[in-house]
Amino acid sequence: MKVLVVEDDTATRAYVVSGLTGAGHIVDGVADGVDGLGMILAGTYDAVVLDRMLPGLDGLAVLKAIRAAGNHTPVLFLSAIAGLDDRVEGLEAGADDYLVKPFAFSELAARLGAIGRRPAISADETRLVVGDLQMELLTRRVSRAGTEIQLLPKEFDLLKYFMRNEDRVLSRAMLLERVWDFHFDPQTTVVETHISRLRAKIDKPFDGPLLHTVKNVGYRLHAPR
Amino acid sequence: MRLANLRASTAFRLVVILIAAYVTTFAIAGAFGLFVVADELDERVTLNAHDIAATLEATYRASGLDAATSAIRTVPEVGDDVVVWLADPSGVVLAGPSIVGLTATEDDNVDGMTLGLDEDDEAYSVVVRDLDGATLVVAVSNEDADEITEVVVVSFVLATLVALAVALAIGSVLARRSHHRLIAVTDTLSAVASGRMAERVPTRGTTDDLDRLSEKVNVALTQLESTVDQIRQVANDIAHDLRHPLGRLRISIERARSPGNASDVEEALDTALSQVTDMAATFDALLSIATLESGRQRDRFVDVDLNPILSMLHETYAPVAEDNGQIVSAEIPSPDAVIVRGDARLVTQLLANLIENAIRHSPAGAQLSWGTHSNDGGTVAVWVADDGPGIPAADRDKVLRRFFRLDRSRTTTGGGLGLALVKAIADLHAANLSLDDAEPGLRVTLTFNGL
Repeated sequence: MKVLVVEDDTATRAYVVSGLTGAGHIVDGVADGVDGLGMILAGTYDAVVLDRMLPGLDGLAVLKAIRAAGNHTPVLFLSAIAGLDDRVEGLEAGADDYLVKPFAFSELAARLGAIGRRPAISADETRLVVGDLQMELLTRRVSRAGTEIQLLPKEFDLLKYFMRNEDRVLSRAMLLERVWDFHFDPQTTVVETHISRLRAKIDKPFDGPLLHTVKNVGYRLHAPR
Repeated sequence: MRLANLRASTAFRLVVILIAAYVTTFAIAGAFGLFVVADELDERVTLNAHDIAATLEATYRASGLDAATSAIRTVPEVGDDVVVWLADPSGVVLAGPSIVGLTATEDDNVDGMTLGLDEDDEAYSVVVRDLDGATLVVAVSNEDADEITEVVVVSFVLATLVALAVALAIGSVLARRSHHRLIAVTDTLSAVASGRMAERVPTRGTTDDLDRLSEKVNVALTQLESTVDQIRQVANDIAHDLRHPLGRLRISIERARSPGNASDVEEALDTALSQVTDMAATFDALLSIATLESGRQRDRFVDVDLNPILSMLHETYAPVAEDNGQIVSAEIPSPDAVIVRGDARLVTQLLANLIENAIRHSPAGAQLSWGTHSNDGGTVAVWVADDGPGIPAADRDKVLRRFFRLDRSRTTTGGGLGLALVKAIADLHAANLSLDDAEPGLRVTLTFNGL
């Protein structure tokens, strides 16, 4: 992916740029909001990491400006402000995701991976397929290798999110936000418990696991080739 | 109180203005009164002269000149304040002092010298009568009238001076008193500004304006004190509670860089990272509580149905509890909607927090339950209960405070902010949070005002 990092803190910018470069992306870094805006509008980036607090033009203004210009480049908003209101404000201004500092690089990489450009999922899509796993969205039927699987509502939502993001690493926080709409850090093993229940239904009775643990980051649904 | 301070006092300035107005009014009224009195007295003197002259003329008409001459001696104060002069038609003076150069004309204001009285500069009212050629002159001194006027003026001035002195004295006492009370207010505010937050303005228990002002100031000071206490408490808590994780973080980092421990490095760094994450979570929680306490989120309140939220949480947490070896007996939610005004995400977070507490603080084998019910009187309640160790009655209020942790939960994770956050969310929704003995265990009930 071609990624632009707009971040005024030199250490954070260098860290993010080198990390993303190391992960195989083509990365540009810029410190100023005005420069950032110009580069986003002129360039062809697949994703932008945009800090909220910037000299010149703040992140929120940059975001509103590029959306007002009809530019839909996916934007991951970075902020040192953790309040729910600020998160909502960022998403309403057109951010695709929101990450609060301090963050783990793996979390940033996972979120960036999930918002980056990919072939658009058509709106009338009714079936998701990953390997021999199939999900009918309208009838909510799930089957693997022709065997029907009974899922509870949250297990269904969890699997749907994984299937829509096949091969992508999804962090624990991303699962909590998208599947449960939880914007806090649970003190119990909510994610682990439900992943384990889901595995017992979709992986255990079958050959070859689909749902993989990515150490220290999260999980990934991946069909064996 | 120095004069400069006194002059600067509002009460004193009011007193001075009042006295000035009073004295001015008094002087105008006095001058007018004096004019009326003096005029009246002059009139009476003139009338008196006319009366005397008329009486003597009547005596003359009745009994002749000799009788009139004798009657002059019976005129009161004759030869003193009253001078009667009678000359026969040939000019022979029958009675009275020998008046040199008397011009026999009537006048209100003739001095004694003109009347031929030695060293007499008093003013006389003169009445002249022609009695068939004889001349009767009656002169009545204005001295009495002038003396009365003088007495009036002197007593008026004296009275004014006394009134002025008394008014000034009372005025400055009152001014001093109210000034002292205002000084008490400013002294108290200065004391509070310099950090003595417990100082209050003394009040006298009356309903006068200064007492009402003092009470308002005291109420504001009490609120200020509690806010400052709260901020100080939070600052202390942060300083105190973050020192421990900082200390542990330092240990992890030192362990990672100590030589000869190569195999431990990765583990120590992982520990350090999770400690950093925990500290960031503590900051987030503190920030969230502060935001909740500001009440801003109330603007976004909508109708929220508690039952679907609780169903979702049941589906989410029942497996977690079961994996912990605990038994969940949720009441089947009634199909009726249980609607409250609120923020669905915050209510979800609150209930999730209560359920997680029940799971984390109860041992394997414990019974957990949760549910909603509508009360008589329109309130709706949602509750979470366990039959775990519970919370001692004495600690139930304390656990809602920031960073408070029961001794036995010192070792479990969680920054000690969970219940403080729950309390802040409950307060935002004007919901009552009560912690009760579930006999055994803990039952937390959240009561909303229904719709």
